[in-house]
Amino acid sequence: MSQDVGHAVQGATEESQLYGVLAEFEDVNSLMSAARKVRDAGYKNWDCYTPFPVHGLDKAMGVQSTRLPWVVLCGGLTGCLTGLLLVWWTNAISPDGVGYALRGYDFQISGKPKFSLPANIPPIFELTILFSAFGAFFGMLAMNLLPKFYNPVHKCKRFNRVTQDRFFIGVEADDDNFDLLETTKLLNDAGASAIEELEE
Amino acid sequence: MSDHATKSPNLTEKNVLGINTTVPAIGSAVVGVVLLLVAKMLAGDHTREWALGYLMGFGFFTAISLGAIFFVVVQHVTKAGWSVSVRRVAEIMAANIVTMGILAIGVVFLAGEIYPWTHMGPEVLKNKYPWLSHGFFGLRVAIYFVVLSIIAWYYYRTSLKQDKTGDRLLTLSMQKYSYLSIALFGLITTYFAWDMIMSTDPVFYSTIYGVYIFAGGTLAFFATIILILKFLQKRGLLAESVSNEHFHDLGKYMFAFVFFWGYIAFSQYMLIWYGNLPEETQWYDRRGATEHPSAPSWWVAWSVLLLFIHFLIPFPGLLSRWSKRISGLLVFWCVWILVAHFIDWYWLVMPEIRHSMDGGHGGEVAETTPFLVPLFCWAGVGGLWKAGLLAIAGQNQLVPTGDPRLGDAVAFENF
Repeated sequence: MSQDVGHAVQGATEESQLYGVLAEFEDVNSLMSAARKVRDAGYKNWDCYTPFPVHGLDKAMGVQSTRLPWVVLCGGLTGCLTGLLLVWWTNAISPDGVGYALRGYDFQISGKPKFSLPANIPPIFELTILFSAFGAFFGMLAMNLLPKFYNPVHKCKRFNRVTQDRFFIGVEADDDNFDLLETTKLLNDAGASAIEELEE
Repeated sequence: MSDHATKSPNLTEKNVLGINTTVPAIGSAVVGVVLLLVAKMLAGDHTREWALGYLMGFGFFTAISLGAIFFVVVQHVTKAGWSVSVRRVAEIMAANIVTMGILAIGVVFLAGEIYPWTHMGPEVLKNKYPWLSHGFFGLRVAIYFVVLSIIAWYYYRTSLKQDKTGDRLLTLSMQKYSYLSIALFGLITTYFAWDMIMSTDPVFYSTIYGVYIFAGGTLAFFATIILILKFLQKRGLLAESVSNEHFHDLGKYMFAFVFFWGYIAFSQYMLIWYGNLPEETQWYDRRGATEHPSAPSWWVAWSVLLLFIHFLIPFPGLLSRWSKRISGLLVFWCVWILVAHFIDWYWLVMPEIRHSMDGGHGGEVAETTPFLVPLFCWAGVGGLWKAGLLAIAGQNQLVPTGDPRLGDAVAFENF
């Protein structure tokens, strides 16, 4: 207990400074086992950095399955309704009292009904696809908090090798479980080849 | 995981049927023939009912075998690793095209009852006259099924050989021939669909028709292979090599083909609707798929049923990841898809019963569309199809254990 209190006092001066700790690992297997240990220790604000996609890492990190499909579904349904509204407004009606520029084209084309689904499904379909893609693309960016122009991990010289042959785990200081000594010890015990403290 | 990839799997599962398949195969064939004869008796004097029912059942199962050939060849075109553990069952289904080739002889002999063009002269058929002649038709059908059988059996036999020798070069030669095979497959599927199914209405023409048949058949193939694999696993086979990951991927394929079928079916419908040419729209009119159809109202209902059962309901149904990963749900949708395939084939073939046999100048036209006769025909052809499947499978392994990519397939995981 006394150690915790002491730490809190010490932390008060460093709080604005410390971003977290970054641990380096030399291969996939040690990264995977370390990720499992960090997960089991109950950390939430942490991440793994690897030179290539590592299969099974999601599970080792305890990452919940993504909610992005729901964003895509909403995007798709919005696109579908937008398309339906578009073809209906531009083809099927031409209401009085609406400004000339905003009115639809109430024309008879090749003897077809003014509003009939066979001819209108292509634009509805395309807008569904387009809005789904928007949902997937922008939803992914938003959920990953991208674009992100600054990340303190880049201050670390060792981190340059993350695109070549080194694997990293970064635990952020704002995690509820974060404690500089204990977190460092955990990563060290998990087989880190180097550990650095990162500043904001 | 990357470190799994090079590991050769050490499987101890049961991977042969382990029963004498000759007896059930003969039994199934006998039941099939009896059902076809029952259908013939039910049809009585109306031989055309029976002949069209036979064509419907034949088309239903041929389309599934075509889907199997497509699947097997595409795995080699794409050098796929994930599918190796399910590929043997697909190879057996593909090799079963031979059974359909034998049954195709029946269609050629029944051509006089099935195809109105056998009674039509050049004044009706116009440019199609030299193409639609009985002898040439028989020759083409023979070529289609011989070439398809050669492709299917080449892949089945080479893969079996690899079980014994483990020769990796066989994988390369299977891959080498896959590009030619897929091209031939595309051509033959299109021509098969035009000649054997579309020409039941010799006036109608649609270039996308072959793709439509392919889309529906491949969809039904995925439903069938999932059901067969589930059945085998229930019997304690393939417990290690086929995992939920493979079912998930086959389910994804099925989902994709639900949409592909809908896309193709709509493309065909929309263009014909827009073009509004009588020789094309009359085909849809006969199926009740127009605003003011001359077909009986239950055909209108059948067309709407096709739209919902084949596309609008299974599409959201298979959208979720869990619908492909929860075993019971996936089996439910597979059965659903096969029901849809039946509705589709009934819709494709049976309305032609109201097509007069000599080009609209009188002749016998049935007033009602039978249901029981084609149902028995379908079950009969199904019995023969199953007999072929059992006979071809025999005591062979149901997993290609000699394939160098089997390790990839066993270790495969979805994310």
